[in-house]
Amino acid sequence: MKTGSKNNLVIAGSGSTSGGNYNDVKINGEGRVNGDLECVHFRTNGKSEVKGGIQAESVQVHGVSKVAGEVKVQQFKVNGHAEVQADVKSEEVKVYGYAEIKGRLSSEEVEIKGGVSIKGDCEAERFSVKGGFHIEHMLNAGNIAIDLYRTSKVKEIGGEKITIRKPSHSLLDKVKMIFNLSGELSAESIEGDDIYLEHTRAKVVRGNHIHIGPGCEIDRVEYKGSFKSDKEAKVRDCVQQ
Amino acid sequence: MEKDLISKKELLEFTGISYGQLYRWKRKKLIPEDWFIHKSTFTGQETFFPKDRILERIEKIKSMKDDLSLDELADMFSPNPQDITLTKEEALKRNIVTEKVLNFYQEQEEGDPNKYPFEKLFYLYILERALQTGEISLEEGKILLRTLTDHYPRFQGKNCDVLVVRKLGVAMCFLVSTPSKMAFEDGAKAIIRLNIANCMEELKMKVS
Repeated sequence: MKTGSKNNLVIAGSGSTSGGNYNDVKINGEGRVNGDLECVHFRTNGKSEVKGGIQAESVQVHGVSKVAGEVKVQQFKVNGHAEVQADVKSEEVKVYGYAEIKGRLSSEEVEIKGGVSIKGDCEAERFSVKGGFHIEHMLNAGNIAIDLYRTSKVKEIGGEKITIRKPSHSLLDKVKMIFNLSGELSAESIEGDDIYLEHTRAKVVRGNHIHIGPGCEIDRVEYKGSFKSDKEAKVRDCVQQ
Repeated sequence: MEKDLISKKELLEFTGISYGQLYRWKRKKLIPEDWFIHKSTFTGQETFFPKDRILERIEKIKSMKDDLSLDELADMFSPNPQDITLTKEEALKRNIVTEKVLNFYQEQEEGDPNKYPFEKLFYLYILERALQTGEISLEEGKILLRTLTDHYPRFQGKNCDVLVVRKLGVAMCFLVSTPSKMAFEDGAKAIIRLNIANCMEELKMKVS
């Protein structure tokens, strides 16, 4: 991307602008962009809305932001809340807070602390969550590491290494459990090479090495290499193939 | 296009690949998304694949993955053109096209008769394939070539079939996006049906 010849765009206070091609775009306060935005860095502090798509090297959201079109960036960072009503394509996605993606998410790396909800599929080489996630269709990632703090749901998971844990049981966790606020994952199918699960309900888990940990309820396990099951796990059917 | 399907489980058993590999290759676009066919069975939802195509593709990936990176492989399987230009001699030497068809092509088209960018090679290769079947005449080859040069760019890298249909000795050429179903009236016959993505893949193998 060529820089230098292009202008910066700054909205301070409250304002709106049409879209366009810029160097750096900064919104401090409240701002609205009424069109597609192409820039190097896009940073918003406060509240912002983009009525089009964004193509940039980096997008940083501090506060609340809503984007109507496709987001194509190398780095997408959210501190607060972001809503994208189309696809997100990126190299690196980091969410501290909450992100809502109405399309599909594809990125080399996805790191979530808080929560994410994705309407389409999600594809990544590394996908890690501390918190909760909701994916309507498929999560396909090389390395999946989930620390469950909230109830999560996904239709299918596929990947190489899949680890789903629920961090230690403090007194607070036990209280949450009584009120049904504790983290649990439900899925239709989970398929991978190395799978370790805790507090997961699934219809079927297929893979090479499978270890079913405490709190799981699995209808059927199909494994090739090895299988282990915790005594606090329920596995109805288990076959080696 | 009813074809034999293979379930995911059978596929992994048969080819010896793991779930991890299958999903990785899907992420890397080595296996097109529309080959994953979801169907309900009595055991719930299952995934199936077009049997011949997926088996052929996996064999190819397995045999080439030691020499090429996954990204290079993805490039080979993608329906997007490559950035390459061959001379007339190179095109002949790599069996992309025979001299006869090449001369015929030069009579139809303008441009440097010794430089063949990928796009031209691609049209040439399809023309060659179609003429080699012996099903179409040179005159019909012209229609085919015209259709491709005029209309293929509009598909913008999307997969499609190229068809030549003949009835009562009159031939017509179509480009049809895939997957799609077609039916012809009696007496009309599809004499040529080539898949663009397959042709592209074959050509890329010859070029690289």
